[in-house]
Amino acid sequence: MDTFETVKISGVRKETPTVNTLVLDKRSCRMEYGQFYMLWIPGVGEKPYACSGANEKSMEITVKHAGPFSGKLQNLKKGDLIGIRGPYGKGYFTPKGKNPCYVAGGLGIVPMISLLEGTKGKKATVILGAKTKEEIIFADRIKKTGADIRIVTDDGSAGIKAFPHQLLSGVIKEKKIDSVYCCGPEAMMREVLKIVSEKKIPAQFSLERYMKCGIGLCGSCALDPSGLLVCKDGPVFDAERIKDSEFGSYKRDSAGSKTRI
Amino acid sequence: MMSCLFCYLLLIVILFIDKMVDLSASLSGVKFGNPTVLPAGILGVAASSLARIASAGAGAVTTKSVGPERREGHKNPVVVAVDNGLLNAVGLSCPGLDESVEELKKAVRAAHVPVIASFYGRTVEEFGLVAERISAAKPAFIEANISCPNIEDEYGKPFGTSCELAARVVAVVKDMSRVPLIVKLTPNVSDIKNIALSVEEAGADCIAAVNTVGPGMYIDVLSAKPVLSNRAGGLSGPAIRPIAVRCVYDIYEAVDIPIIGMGGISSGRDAAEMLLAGASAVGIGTAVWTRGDGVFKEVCAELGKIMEERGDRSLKDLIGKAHC
Repeated sequence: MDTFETVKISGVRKETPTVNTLVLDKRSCRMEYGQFYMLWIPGVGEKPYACSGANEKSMEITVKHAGPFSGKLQNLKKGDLIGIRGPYGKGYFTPKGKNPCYVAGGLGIVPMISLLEGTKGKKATVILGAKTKEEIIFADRIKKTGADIRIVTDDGSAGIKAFPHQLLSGVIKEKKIDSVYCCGPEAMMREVLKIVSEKKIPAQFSLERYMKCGIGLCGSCALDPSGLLVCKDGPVFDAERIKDSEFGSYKRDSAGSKTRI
Repeated sequence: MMSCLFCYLLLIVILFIDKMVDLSASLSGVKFGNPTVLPAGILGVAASSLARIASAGAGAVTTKSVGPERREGHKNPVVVAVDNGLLNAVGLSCPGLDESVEELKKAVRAAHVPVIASFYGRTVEEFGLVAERISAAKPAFIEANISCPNIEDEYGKPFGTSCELAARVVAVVKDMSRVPLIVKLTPNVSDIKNIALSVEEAGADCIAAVNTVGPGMYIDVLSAKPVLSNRAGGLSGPAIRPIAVRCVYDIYEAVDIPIIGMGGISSGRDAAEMLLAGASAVGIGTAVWTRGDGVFKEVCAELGKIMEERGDRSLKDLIGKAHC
């Protein structure tokens, strides 16, 4: 699994003006919900990405143009080569409860979509947040699972003008939510953590930290004060494990320096 | 009656202790509960990681090398797995001296085992300046990294490849700091004995050997590109253990100061082998990847069994015993 493999991209699907899904064939993919891969563009660089779909024959990676690397990744075309290692992480999403609520901001739905699609029998509610109407992803895939979808946008161009966490308390009450899955901007996740801690609802969060090795050696993604590693112990953590941690207040950059969230 | 019972119990306790092997180590007057050491560059960015590894059973922990100023290191990929080992070129990333000293202070407070503060400089003088600053955080040791193989494009050949430069670094550092000094050596030299002798003569208290081997390279054949962004990277893991054992064996012949032996140690057998070659303690790095952070306790348990089988009482019965 730690062995590096280079594969050809077999297809590219446009999700939004800034988001593409890359389809990688010939890569058998057995993974747990929420695990991640390290993706290498030959000669350019390598970064961790969640998988947005996987089966025995192929896997998909959904990428947003957010910086120089992801811009290049997003511009890759059918037939281009991509290096891949993984799946990584021993902390992943585990199906819990009968009435789960998914809270997703931006691309936060990507690591959670397989869990939602893999547990269709449940009465799930998805709070799907995006900056604008154009930036909403996977709304159709979510609807297909039969989940109740609540769309929120920063500018109100679709759904309700709000941030995802602002809908959570109401949804918990209305739908008798008994478990929460969350991924998105950390400031939003911090608010969700507050709500679930207060209401004592089991919750899981998918975290992002700067990663170098991805295999639990370099220590770049360590969380204070437990020393839990996002790459190895995560990337998904139960609420209790990150409650009294650096999560929501600071993170380390590529030099190891702390930056505020 | 009571005192009689007490004496009897004491006797039982003494007999019990007598049968157990003693894994405690002592280097330059510093006591380690066991001989396993987390080496520099493995999980040493955050104090919280060092505390976690100390709790997981390491006898001592080493910080990631602290440098004179902020450095991001090399771009990803910085690691690639190869047969029986790992190539890495992280490139001495460092948040900067002030933040590193603060993190080091935290580590010294949080870890209940000796903390070794690894450091580097771009010049001989910078080694002295950084040593002075980190010594203020009161680590058990400071460790001069004169052997990183991955920054040659910017810094030139590592100081550890020249007897004269290595000795000058040691002399300057000893002038600036009273904390016991470990010097970490590179195996990528024609005669490691001479380098070891030079740093001992210049005043080093201890030697750590070896840093990664090579550097080596891994080329992806479909894209025809070296995978590491630095193109080359130091080799670690089981693949290099025979080289590391030979280096430590040679160094032990040349010097009297204690050696922390490292390079591919993943089991109690490997640790015993390194001790027999002449090491007083052993670094375990790449095996944290293959065996998890339980590796320190596991290696100690395995080593204890081997010692029992050999009839050893303490590490003294192993250290350097492969030399006749």
